[in-house]
Amino acid sequence: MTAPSNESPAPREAAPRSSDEAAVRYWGAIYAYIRQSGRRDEEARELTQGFIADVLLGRNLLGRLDEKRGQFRTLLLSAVRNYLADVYRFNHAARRHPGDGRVIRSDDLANDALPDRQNPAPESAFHRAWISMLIRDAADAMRAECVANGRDMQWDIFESRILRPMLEGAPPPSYESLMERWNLTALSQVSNTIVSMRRSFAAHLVQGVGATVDTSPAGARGELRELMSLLEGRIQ
Amino acid sequence: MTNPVDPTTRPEPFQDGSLRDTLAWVLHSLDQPAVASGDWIAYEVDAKRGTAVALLTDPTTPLARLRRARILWAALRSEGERAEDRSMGSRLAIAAAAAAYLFHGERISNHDDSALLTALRSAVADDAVPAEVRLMMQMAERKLTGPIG
Repeated sequence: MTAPSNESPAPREAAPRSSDEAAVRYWGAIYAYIRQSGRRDEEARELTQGFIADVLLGRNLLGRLDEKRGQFRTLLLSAVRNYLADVYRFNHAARRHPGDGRVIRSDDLANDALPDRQNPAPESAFHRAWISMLIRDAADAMRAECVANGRDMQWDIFESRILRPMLEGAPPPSYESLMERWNLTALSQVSNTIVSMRRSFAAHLVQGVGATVDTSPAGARGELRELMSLLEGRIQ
Repeated sequence: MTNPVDPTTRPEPFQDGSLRDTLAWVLHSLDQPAVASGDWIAYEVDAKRGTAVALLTDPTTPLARLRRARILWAALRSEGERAEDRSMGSRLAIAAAAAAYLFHGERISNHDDSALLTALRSAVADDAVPAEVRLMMQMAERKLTGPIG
Protein backbone atom coordinates (compact mmCIF):
# COMPACT_ATOMS: atom_id res chain seq x y z
CA MET A 1 0.00 0.00 0.00
CA THR A 2 1.24 3.44 -0.77
CA ALA A 3 1.44 5.51 2.36
CA PRO A 4 -0.22 8.89 2.13
CA SER A 5 2.10 11.83 1.99
CA ASN A 6 2.68 13.38 5.35
CA GLU A 7 4.55 16.38 4.13
CA SER A 8 3.33 19.84 4.94
CA PRO A 9 0.63 20.95 2.56
CA ALA A 10 1.48 23.47 -0.12
CA PRO A 11 1.31 27.03 1.20
CA ARG A 12 -2.14 28.50 0.95
CA GLU A 13 -2.86 32.10 0.13
CA ALA A 14 -3.79 34.31 3.02
CA ALA A 15 -6.79 35.80 1.32
CA PRO A 16 -9.12 34.81 -1.48
CA ARG A 17 -7.85 35.94 -4.85
CA SER A 18 -11.05 37.41 -6.22
CA SER A 19 -13.95 39.34 -4.80
CA ASP A 20 -16.33 36.52 -5.67
CA GLU A 21 -14.12 34.10 -3.81
CA ALA A 22 -14.10 36.41 -0.81
CA ALA A 23 -17.86 36.77 -0.93
CA VAL A 24 -18.33 33.03 -0.93
CA ARG A 25 -15.68 32.34 1.67
CA TYR A 26 -16.81 34.79 4.34
CA TRP A 27 -20.50 34.96 3.56
CA GLY A 28 -21.45 32.32 6.12
CA ALA A 29 -19.73 33.91 9.11
CA ILE A 30 -20.93 37.43 8.25
CA TYR A 31 -24.50 36.27 7.67
CA ALA A 32 -24.47 34.21 10.89
CA TYR A 33 -23.53 37.28 12.94
CA ILE A 34 -26.07 39.56 11.30
CA ARG A 35 -28.89 37.03 11.42
CA GLN A 36 -28.20 36.22 15.06
CA SER A 37 -28.23 39.92 15.92
CA GLY A 38 -31.98 39.85 15.41
CA ARG A 39 -32.44 40.59 11.70
CA ARG A 40 -34.93 38.60 9.70
CA ASP A 41 -33.53 36.23 7.09
CA GLU A 42 -34.15 38.43 4.07
CA GLU A 43 -32.80 41.54 5.77
CA ALA A 44 -29.77 39.64 7.04
CA ARG A 45 -29.00 38.49 3.50
CA GLU A 46 -29.21 42.02 2.17
CA LEU A 47 -27.04 43.40 4.95
CA THR A 48 -24.51 40.64 4.40
CA GLN A 49 -24.34 41.47 0.73
CA GLY A 50 -24.08 45.17 1.57
CA PHE A 51 -21.25 44.57 3.99
CA ILE A 52 -19.32 42.48 1.48
CA ALA A 53 -19.72 45.12 -1.23
CA ASP A 54 -19.22 48.24 0.89
CA VAL A 55 -16.68 47.17 3.50
CA LEU A 56 -15.01 43.88 2.68
CA LEU A 57 -14.39 44.90 -0.91
CA GLY A 58 -15.26 48.60 -1.00
CA ARG A 59 -12.94 49.56 1.85
CA ASN A 60 -10.47 46.82 0.98
CA LEU A 61 -10.71 44.96 4.26
CA LEU A 62 -9.09 42.01 2.56
CA GLY A 63 -6.06 44.15 1.77
CA ARG A 64 -5.53 44.62 5.49
CA LEU A 65 -5.13 40.93 6.04
CA ASP A 66 -1.46 40.89 6.84
CA GLU A 67 0.81 40.09 9.69
CA LYS A 68 0.71 43.52 11.26
CA ARG A 69 -3.05 43.46 11.50
CA GLY A 70 -3.12 40.31 13.58
CA GLN A 71 -6.13 38.06 13.40
CA PHE A 72 -8.31 38.62 10.39
CA ARG A 73 -11.17 36.95 12.29
CA THR A 74 -11.30 39.66 14.93
CA LEU A 75 -10.84 42.37 12.33
CA LEU A 76 -13.75 41.04 10.31
CA LEU A 77 -15.93 40.60 13.38
CA SER A 78 -15.44 44.15 14.58
CA ALA A 79 -15.99 45.48 11.05
CA VAL A 80 -19.36 43.68 10.83
CA ARG A 81 -20.32 44.95 14.27
CA ASN A 82 -19.44 48.53 13.30
CA TYR A 83 -21.27 48.19 10.01
CA LEU A 84 -24.47 47.17 11.79
CA ALA A 85 -24.10 50.07 14.21
CA ASP A 86 -23.67 52.45 11.26
CA VAL A 87 -26.75 51.04 9.55
CA TYR A 88 -28.73 51.37 12.77
CA ARG A 89 -27.64 54.98 13.27
CA PHE A 90 -28.38 55.84 9.65
CA ASN A 91 -31.87 54.36 9.79
CA HIS A 92 -32.53 55.95 13.15
CA ALA A 93 -31.46 59.38 11.96
CA ALA A 94 -33.54 59.07 8.81
CA ARG A 95 -36.60 58.36 10.89
CA ARG A 96 -35.98 61.26 13.25
CA HIS A 97 -35.50 63.62 10.32
CA PRO A 98 -37.65 62.28 7.51
CA GLY A 99 -37.48 65.60 5.71
CA ASP A 100 -40.95 65.22 4.23
CA GLY A 101 -42.92 66.78 7.04
CA ARG A 102 -44.54 63.55 8.10
CA VAL A 103 -45.02 62.75 11.76
CA ILE A 104 -42.79 60.07 13.17
CA ARG A 105 -44.68 57.21 14.78
CA SER A 106 -43.19 55.28 17.61
CA ASP A 107 -43.85 52.09 15.59
CA ASP A 108 -41.18 53.19 13.14
CA LEU A 109 -38.56 53.06 15.85
CA ALA A 110 -39.90 49.89 17.41
CA ASN A 111 -39.46 48.08 14.12
CA ASP A 112 -35.74 48.75 14.14
CA ALA A 113 -33.77 45.56 14.14
CA LEU A 114 -32.34 45.48 17.61
CA PRO A 115 -30.44 42.40 18.72
CA ASP A 116 -32.66 39.62 19.97
CA ARG A 117 -31.40 38.87 23.45
CA GLN A 118 -33.30 35.58 23.51
CA ASN A 119 -30.87 34.15 20.96
CA PRO A 120 -27.28 33.09 21.52
CA ALA A 121 -24.77 35.86 21.10
CA PRO A 122 -24.10 36.87 17.50
CA GLU A 123 -20.40 36.40 18.23
CA SER A 124 -20.99 32.70 18.97
CA ALA A 125 -22.81 32.25 15.67
CA PHE A 126 -20.01 34.07 13.86
CA HIS A 127 -17.34 31.85 15.42
CA ARG A 128 -19.22 28.64 14.74
CA ALA A 129 -19.56 29.59 11.08
CA TRP A 130 -15.93 30.71 10.97
CA ILE A 131 -14.60 27.40 12.36
CA SER A 132 -16.91 25.46 10.04
CA MET A 133 -15.42 27.42 7.14
CA LEU A 134 -11.86 26.58 8.23
CA ILE A 135 -12.68 22.89 8.57
CA ARG A 136 -14.38 22.78 5.16
CA ASP A 137 -11.42 24.58 3.60
CA ALA A 138 -8.99 22.07 5.11
CA ALA A 139 -11.09 19.15 3.91
CA ASP A 140 -11.44 20.64 0.41
CA ALA A 141 -7.70 21.27 0.14
CA MET A 142 -6.91 17.79 1.35
CA ARG A 143 -9.39 16.17 -1.02
CA ALA A 144 -7.93 18.09 -3.97
CA GLU A 145 -4.43 17.07 -2.98
CA CYS A 146 -5.39 13.41 -2.63
CA VAL A 147 -7.17 13.36 -5.98
CA ALA A 148 -4.23 15.08 -7.69
CA ASN A 149 -1.84 12.51 -6.24
CA GLY A 150 -3.91 9.42 -6.95
CA ARG A 151 -4.71 8.84 -3.29
CA ASP A 152 -8.45 8.40 -3.72
CA MET A 153 -8.44 5.37 -1.45
CA GLN A 154 -6.81 7.24 1.42
CA TRP A 155 -9.25 10.12 1.03
CA ASP A 156 -12.26 7.82 0.89
CA ILE A 157 -11.19 5.98 4.04
CA PHE A 158 -10.62 9.21 5.92
CA GLU A 159 -13.77 10.92 4.73
CA SER A 160 -16.11 8.00 5.27
CA ARG A 161 -14.62 6.71 8.50
CA ILE A 162 -13.62 9.96 10.26
CA LEU A 163 -14.80 13.21 8.71
CA ARG A 164 -18.42 12.50 7.87
CA PRO A 165 -19.18 10.64 11.10
CA MET A 166 -17.57 13.38 13.16
CA LEU A 167 -19.02 16.36 11.36
CA GLU A 168 -22.34 15.07 10.06
CA GLY A 169 -23.10 12.13 12.32
CA ALA A 170 -22.97 9.70 9.38
CA PRO A 171 -22.53 6.06 10.38
CA PRO A 172 -18.91 4.98 9.78
CA PRO A 173 -18.39 2.01 7.45
CA SER A 174 -16.80 -1.06 9.00
CA TYR A 175 -13.15 -1.88 8.43
CA GLU A 176 -14.24 -4.99 6.60
CA SER A 177 -16.37 -3.06 4.12
CA LEU A 178 -13.55 -0.60 3.46
CA MET A 179 -11.14 -3.47 2.90
CA GLU A 180 -13.55 -5.02 0.45
CA ARG A 181 -14.18 -1.72 -1.34
CA TRP A 182 -10.46 -1.07 -1.84
CA ASN A 183 -9.25 -4.63 -2.11
CA LEU A 184 -7.11 -4.42 1.01
CA THR A 185 -5.82 -7.46 2.84
CA ALA A 186 -5.12 -6.26 6.38
CA LEU A 187 -6.95 -4.23 9.00
CA SER A 188 -3.78 -2.30 9.65
CA GLN A 189 -3.87 -0.85 6.12
CA VAL A 190 -7.02 0.96 7.15
CA SER A 191 -5.83 1.99 10.61
CA ASN A 192 -2.44 3.25 9.45
CA THR A 193 -4.11 5.19 6.66
CA ILE A 194 -6.35 6.83 9.21
CA VAL A 195 -3.40 7.82 11.39
CA SER A 196 -1.62 9.38 8.40
CA MET A 197 -4.69 11.14 7.11
CA ARG A 198 -5.65 12.57 10.49
CA ARG A 199 -2.18 14.03 10.75
CA SER A 200 -2.41 15.42 7.25
CA PHE A 201 -5.79 16.98 7.99
CA ALA A 202 -4.36 18.59 11.12
CA ALA A 203 -1.54 20.06 9.03
CA HIS A 204 -4.02 21.45 6.49
CA LEU A 205 -6.17 22.97 9.21
CA VAL A 206 -3.18 24.55 10.92
CA GLN A 207 -2.10 26.02 7.63
CA GLY A 208 -5.56 27.39 6.89
CA VAL A 209 -5.79 28.93 10.35
CA GLY A 210 -2.29 30.31 9.96
CA ALA A 211 -3.34 32.12 6.80
CA THR A 212 -5.82 34.14 8.87
CA VAL A 213 -3.37 35.17 11.56
CA ASP A 214 0.30 35.14 10.61
CA THR A 215 2.72 32.71 9.09
CA SER A 216 4.20 31.16 12.22
CA PRO A 217 3.00 27.74 13.44
CA ALA A 218 2.86 29.19 16.96
CA GLY A 219 0.43 31.85 15.77
CA ALA A 220 -1.82 29.21 14.19
CA ARG A 221 -1.75 27.05 17.31
CA GLY A 222 -2.61 30.01 19.49
CA GLU A 223 -5.53 30.86 17.23
CA LEU A 224 -6.72 27.24 17.29
CA ARG A 225 -6.65 27.26 21.09
CA GLU A 226 -8.55 30.52 21.15
CA LEU A 227 -11.18 29.12 18.78
CA MET A 228 -11.53 26.11 21.07
CA SER A 229 -11.94 28.40 24.08
CA LEU A 230 -14.58 30.39 22.21
CA LEU A 231 -16.49 27.20 21.43
CA GLU A 232 -16.32 26.14 25.03
CA GLY A 233 -17.54 29.54 26.17
CA ARG A 234 -14.39 30.21 28.19
CA ILE A 235 -13.92 33.53 26.43
CA GLN A 236 -16.38 35.83 24.68
CA MET B 1 -19.58 45.08 -6.77
CA THR B 2 -19.47 41.38 -6.51
CA ASN B 3 -22.31 39.16 -7.58
CA PRO B 4 -24.74 38.29 -4.83
CA VAL B 5 -24.08 34.95 -3.20
CA ASP B 6 -26.90 32.49 -3.34
CA PRO B 7 -27.33 31.58 0.32
CA THR B 8 -29.13 28.37 -0.55
CA THR B 9 -25.83 27.03 -1.86
CA ARG B 10 -24.02 27.82 1.36
CA PRO B 11 -23.61 24.92 3.75
CA GLU B 12 -24.87 25.28 7.30
CA PRO B 13 -22.30 25.54 10.08
CA PHE B 14 -21.53 22.29 11.87
CA GLN B 15 -22.80 21.63 15.37
CA ASP B 16 -20.75 22.88 18.31
CA GLY B 17 -20.00 19.35 19.50
CA SER B 18 -18.64 18.33 16.10
CA LEU B 19 -16.47 21.41 15.93
CA ARG B 20 -15.16 20.90 19.46
CA ASP B 21 -14.33 17.24 18.78
CA THR B 22 -12.51 18.11 15.57
CA LEU B 23 -10.48 20.93 17.09
CA ALA B 24 -9.72 18.75 20.13
CA TRP B 25 -8.08 15.96 18.17
CA VAL B 26 -6.21 18.39 15.96
CA LEU B 27 -4.82 20.17 19.04
CA HIS B 28 -4.02 16.81 20.64
CA SER B 29 -1.98 15.85 17.59
CA LEU B 30 -0.02 19.10 17.86
CA ASP B 31 0.61 18.78 21.59
CA GLN B 32 1.34 15.05 21.80
CA PRO B 33 1.83 13.63 18.31
CA ALA B 34 2.87 10.12 19.36
CA VAL B 35 0.17 9.72 22.02
CA ALA B 36 -2.35 11.04 19.49
CA SER B 37 -1.53 8.35 16.95
CA GLY B 38 -1.97 5.69 19.66
CA ASP B 39 -5.25 7.27 20.69
CA TRP B 40 -6.55 7.36 17.12
CA ILE B 41 -6.09 3.62 16.89
CA ALA B 42 -7.76 3.17 20.27
CA TYR B 43 -10.68 5.22 18.93
CA GLU B 44 -10.88 2.95 15.89
CA VAL B 45 -11.13 -0.09 18.12
CA ASP B 46 -13.43 1.35 20.76
CA ALA B 47 -14.91 4.76 19.96
CA LYS B 48 -16.70 4.89 23.31
CA ARG B 49 -13.51 4.61 25.34
CA GLY B 50 -11.69 6.60 22.68
CA THR B 51 -8.15 6.78 24.05
CA ALA B 52 -5.34 4.35 24.73
CA VAL B 53 -5.50 5.16 28.44
CA ALA B 54 -9.23 4.47 28.66
CA LEU B 55 -9.00 1.29 26.61
CA LEU B 56 -6.03 -0.15 28.49
CA THR B 57 -6.88 0.74 32.06
CA ASP B 58 -10.55 -0.25 32.09
CA PRO B 59 -10.85 -3.78 33.52
CA THR B 60 -14.12 -4.21 31.62
CA THR B 61 -12.62 -3.64 28.16
CA PRO B 62 -13.54 -6.82 26.26
CA LEU B 63 -10.67 -9.13 25.46
CA ALA B 64 -11.55 -9.07 21.75
CA ARG B 65 -10.94 -5.32 21.68
CA LEU B 66 -7.59 -5.70 23.38
CA ARG B 67 -6.64 -8.30 20.80
CA ARG B 68 -7.66 -6.04 17.94
CA ALA B 69 -5.90 -3.04 19.45
CA ARG B 70 -2.73 -5.05 19.93
CA ILE B 71 -2.74 -6.07 16.27
CA LEU B 72 -3.26 -2.49 15.07
CA TRP B 73 -0.67 -1.02 17.43
CA ALA B 74 1.79 -3.71 16.37
CA ALA B 75 1.15 -2.68 12.76
CA LEU B 76 1.82 0.93 13.72
CA ARG B 77 5.10 -0.29 15.20
CA SER B 78 6.14 -1.91 11.93
CA GLU B 79 4.56 0.45 9.37
CA GLY B 80 4.15 3.80 11.13
CA GLU B 81 5.31 6.83 9.19
CA ARG B 82 7.30 8.39 12.00
CA ALA B 83 9.80 6.97 14.46
CA GLU B 84 7.71 8.25 17.37
CA ASP B 85 4.63 6.46 15.98
CA ARG B 86 6.57 3.23 15.65
CA SER B 87 7.90 3.53 19.18
CA MET B 88 4.46 4.29 20.63
CA GLY B 89 2.95 1.44 18.61
CA SER B 90 5.48 -0.92 20.12
CA ARG B 91 4.78 0.25 23.68
CA LEU B 92 1.03 0.13 23.34
CA ALA B 93 1.05 -3.32 21.72
CA ILE B 94 2.87 -4.59 24.81
CA ALA B 95 0.47 -2.67 27.01
CA ALA B 96 -2.47 -4.41 25.32
CA ALA B 97 -0.88 -7.77 26.08
CA ALA B 98 -0.35 -6.64 29.67
CA ALA B 99 -3.98 -5.53 30.04
CA ALA B 100 -5.25 -8.83 28.62
CA TYR B 101 -3.11 -10.72 31.12
CA LEU B 102 -3.91 -8.45 34.07
CA PHE B 103 -7.67 -8.14 33.59
CA HIS B 104 -8.55 -11.37 31.78
CA GLY B 105 -5.68 -13.74 32.62
CA GLU B 106 -5.12 -14.29 28.89
CA ARG B 107 -1.95 -14.27 26.83
CA ILE B 108 -2.58 -12.51 23.52
CA SER B 109 0.99 -12.17 22.27
CA ASN B 110 3.67 -14.66 21.39
CA HIS B 111 6.06 -13.41 24.06
CA ASP B 112 7.30 -15.93 26.61
CA ASP B 113 7.39 -14.73 30.22
CA SER B 114 10.95 -13.54 30.03
CA ALA B 115 10.45 -11.57 26.81
CA LEU B 116 7.18 -10.11 28.08
CA LEU B 117 8.81 -8.98 31.33
CA THR B 118 11.68 -7.36 29.46
CA ALA B 119 9.28 -5.54 27.15
CA LEU B 120 7.06 -4.47 30.05
CA ARG B 121 9.98 -3.07 32.04
CA SER B 122 11.22 -1.18 29.04
CA ALA B 123 7.78 0.30 28.37
CA VAL B 124 7.27 1.22 32.03
CA ALA B 125 10.51 3.19 31.92
CA ASP B 126 9.41 5.16 28.85
CA ASP B 127 8.06 8.58 29.86
CA ALA B 128 6.42 8.98 26.46
CA VAL B 129 3.86 6.34 27.50
CA PRO B 130 0.95 7.82 29.50
CA ALA B 131 1.44 7.39 33.26
CA GLU B 132 -1.83 5.48 33.76
CA VAL B 133 -0.78 2.91 31.18
CA ARG B 134 2.62 2.51 32.80
CA LEU B 135 0.94 1.93 36.15
CA MET B 136 -1.25 -0.78 34.64
CA MET B 137 1.82 -2.41 33.14
CA GLN B 138 3.54 -2.39 36.54
CA MET B 139 0.55 -4.24 37.98
CA ALA B 140 0.73 -6.77 35.16
CA GLU B 141 4.44 -7.16 35.80
CA ARG B 142 3.76 -7.91 39.47
CA LYS B 143 1.08 -10.42 38.53
CA LEU B 144 3.46 -12.07 36.08
CA THR B 145 6.32 -12.40 38.53
CA GLY B 146 3.90 -13.69 41.19
CA PRO B 147 4.15 -13.61 44.96
CA ILE B 148 7.62 -14.22 46.27
CA GLY B 149 8.13 -17.24 48.54
